[in-house]
Amino acid sequence: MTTPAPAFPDRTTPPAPGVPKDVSFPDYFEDVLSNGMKVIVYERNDLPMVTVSLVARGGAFHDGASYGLASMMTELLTKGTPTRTAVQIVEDIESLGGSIGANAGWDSMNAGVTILSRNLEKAMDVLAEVARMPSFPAEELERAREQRLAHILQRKASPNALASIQFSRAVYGSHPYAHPLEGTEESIRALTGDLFAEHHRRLFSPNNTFLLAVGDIAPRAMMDMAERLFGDWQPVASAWPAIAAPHDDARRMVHVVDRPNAVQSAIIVGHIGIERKSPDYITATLMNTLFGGYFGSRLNLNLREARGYTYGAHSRFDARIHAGPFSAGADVRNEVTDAAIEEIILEIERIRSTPVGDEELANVKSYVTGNFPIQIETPLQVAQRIISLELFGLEKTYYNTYNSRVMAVTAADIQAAAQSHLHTDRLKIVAAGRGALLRDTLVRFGAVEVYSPDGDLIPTVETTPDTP
Amino acid sequence: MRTIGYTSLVLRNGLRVALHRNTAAPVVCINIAYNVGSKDEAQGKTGFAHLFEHLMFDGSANIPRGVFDRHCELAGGYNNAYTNEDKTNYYIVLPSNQLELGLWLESDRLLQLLLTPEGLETQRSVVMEEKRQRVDNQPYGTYDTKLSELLFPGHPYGHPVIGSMDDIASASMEDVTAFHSAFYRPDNAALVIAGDIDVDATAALVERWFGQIPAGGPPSRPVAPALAPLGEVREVVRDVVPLPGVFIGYRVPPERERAFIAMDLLSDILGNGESSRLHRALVYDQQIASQASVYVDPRQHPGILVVYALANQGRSAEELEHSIDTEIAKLLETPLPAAELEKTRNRVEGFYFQNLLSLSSRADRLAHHTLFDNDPDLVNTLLSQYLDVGVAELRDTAEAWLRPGHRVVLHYLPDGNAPVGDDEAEE
Repeated sequence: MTTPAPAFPDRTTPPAPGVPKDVSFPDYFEDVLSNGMKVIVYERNDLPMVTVSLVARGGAFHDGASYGLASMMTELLTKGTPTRTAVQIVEDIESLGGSIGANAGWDSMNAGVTILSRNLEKAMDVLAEVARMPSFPAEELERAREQRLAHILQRKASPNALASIQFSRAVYGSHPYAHPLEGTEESIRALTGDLFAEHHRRLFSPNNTFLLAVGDIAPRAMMDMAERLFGDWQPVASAWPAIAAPHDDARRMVHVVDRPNAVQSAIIVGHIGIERKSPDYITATLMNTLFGGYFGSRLNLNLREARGYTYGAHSRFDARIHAGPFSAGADVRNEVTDAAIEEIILEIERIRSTPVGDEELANVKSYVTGNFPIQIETPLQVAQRIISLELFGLEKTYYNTYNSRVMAVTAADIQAAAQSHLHTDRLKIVAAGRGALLRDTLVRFGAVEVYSPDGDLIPTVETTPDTP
Repeated sequence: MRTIGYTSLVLRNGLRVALHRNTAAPVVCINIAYNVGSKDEAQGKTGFAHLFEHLMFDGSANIPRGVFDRHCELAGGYNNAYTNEDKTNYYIVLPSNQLELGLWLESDRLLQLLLTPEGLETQRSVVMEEKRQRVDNQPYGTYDTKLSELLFPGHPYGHPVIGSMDDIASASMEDVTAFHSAFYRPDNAALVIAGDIDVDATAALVERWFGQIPAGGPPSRPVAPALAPLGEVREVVRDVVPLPGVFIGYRVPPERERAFIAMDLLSDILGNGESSRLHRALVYDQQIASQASVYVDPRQHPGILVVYALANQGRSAEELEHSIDTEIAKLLETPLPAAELEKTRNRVEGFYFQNLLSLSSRADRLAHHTLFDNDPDLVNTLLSQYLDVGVAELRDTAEAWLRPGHRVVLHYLPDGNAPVGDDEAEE
């Protein structure tokens, strides 16, 4: 062998990283149709595929007393129009090499197709039809209702779902965020085709929706297609009753959902968090990542690594148009439920009272800024970010400056964010587990209310034996 | 037609490498596939390939136990692995300036994995817990194991990837050390780096971190015997399931045989998606099933096509099987209408490109085709083989592989008294 052997690398320490590349969010096209409807295009043609979403503002937030209305209405968009049955819609789209679907969140509803780009025009015909002229056939409504009721029933077997439902009730009281997005048995039974039609008329209009195309499509071609299919869509005056911003009940509450034979407790503690548009969003979410948002977070190192109470502990801000919840949680063994809650409270006190160390802060910044490019790699990930920019009214440059703003956060900023956005006095403490045991052990945090899996208050003494 | 570009190289130690440059985001994916799966396990040592996937995260000479994940996380990345019948695959996704960190992590555990009795003990119990969760405690969770045993008796595919818990329990340090030195060799692997890379610089880095790892020579593998012809094998399984379910397994040709491609198309026609024949008939029209679906599992040796349906309340396994048989008979008797062929081709093309949208899925395909086919370009050319198949070929293939009487039929029936999660003793 005449070529010199390459130098042995030093394997004893990790190789130093290269200089991080600037993470620039892709540029995209925006314009409006003749009726004012917005169209956004992110062209990327390395593969011959396109995804087009029609996004409507407003979601489960506007359900009123008909919990699950937005979610069920959206699901039914693709189940019938005056000219196509549910079977024809799925057949037409799948035949073109694509898929179609629709779903609702708290703040938006989305109907979309993913399709081979050469078949986009035909798929857009179908998308426009389901978005503009859904007929909510009675037979399809009953089919969807049965499935939804079965789903709600299944959720009652899940301790995490039970804790989460009770947590929303405890935190939000009479605000719309108090109720399950997918509805309750009672509310789903009461939904009618007329309700869907009226809700659709109010929310699906050119002035309340926008069209987003990502993938192998030129902006001009998309504009022409959109004008043909949506240009004659008439705006609708929307007059929603104003919904007041939610306010935390100042009291601490301790709610237990009784599962007499549980071997674990599902814990969720928290309170009202922040709005997505909050100027504190980046600092608060970085603080949360350090607190409970990744494997190396304080909560996980304490509850999992140091104490072995759980397989994993997490916290998050679910930021929405109104202030969504801050929540911290873990699944823990029955007998350490109170100890785990105590540790979460102590960790909140610690992050409020003591500045974070340099290394801990550097680590979380490294994680968050390194992870960001991975979050915008695929066209669909980019689409999701564009939808957020639109829905929440963030500047178009928001994601271009994201990493530099994360890097600028100081230990004092973290502490200030913790003091503004984490509170122990008004915590809503929820655990789904053995009612009799938890009633006794959680009383150290405040008066305990015990609820059945159906959400009914179980009065006074032990009604459920503590089976071994 | 747009293509996935790549550069191939082979290191002197036999490691085959493919580099794919894509600069859409400053991200890199490192994927290494080893030609070792449950097919390579000797009798009495089943489950070793998958156990090894766990041991590979347990520490190497310079990366102590538990620190592998921590390095990835601190860089903002993530990593994972999977094991199947044919291969074990590891991947790391990182911001592109951390490429070398990933090469260090991945090469150290190939060069100098630390196998300790404590690590073996820990991972043994993790694997047993995984089996309890994924197989024993899942409704219908044993169907895969049963189909493998009955479709491939006496063949390396006859035991499940998770293996026998007795074999896992009796694995010794000598066993696992021998397994590592036999299969975890650069000449038994394919490495792919995909993403925002400089190709020449990356080739040099691969040489730097992997170039000095010694080759091992071809490992000895169990011989896969010719399979005896299969009749109709039936079994009723009483299990803790809410409602009856039917699982039918057919053999299919090895993945690189032409007839496999036709079988893959037939599985789409029959049971992939809401507009497929089975979903339409059983779920939508007859309303006897909550789910009805078909998939194929492509393999190096003969693989498997699974048809399954789960009953609605009040419906029987017999009803499901009858309706499934009716749909399969139609495939055999009636030529595929031209419109349905067109639809199937569109769908295959759509799935094909959907599956190449992310860097990690591109890297996975490139690694697979490099490892088993020595032809990474299949990532670009395989589609045309699917689009070539015509009506006559589909009918001939269905006739050869889906004709009645050559399959395994399992009926799962609810049995409230069956034990859950406690059947290791039976194995």
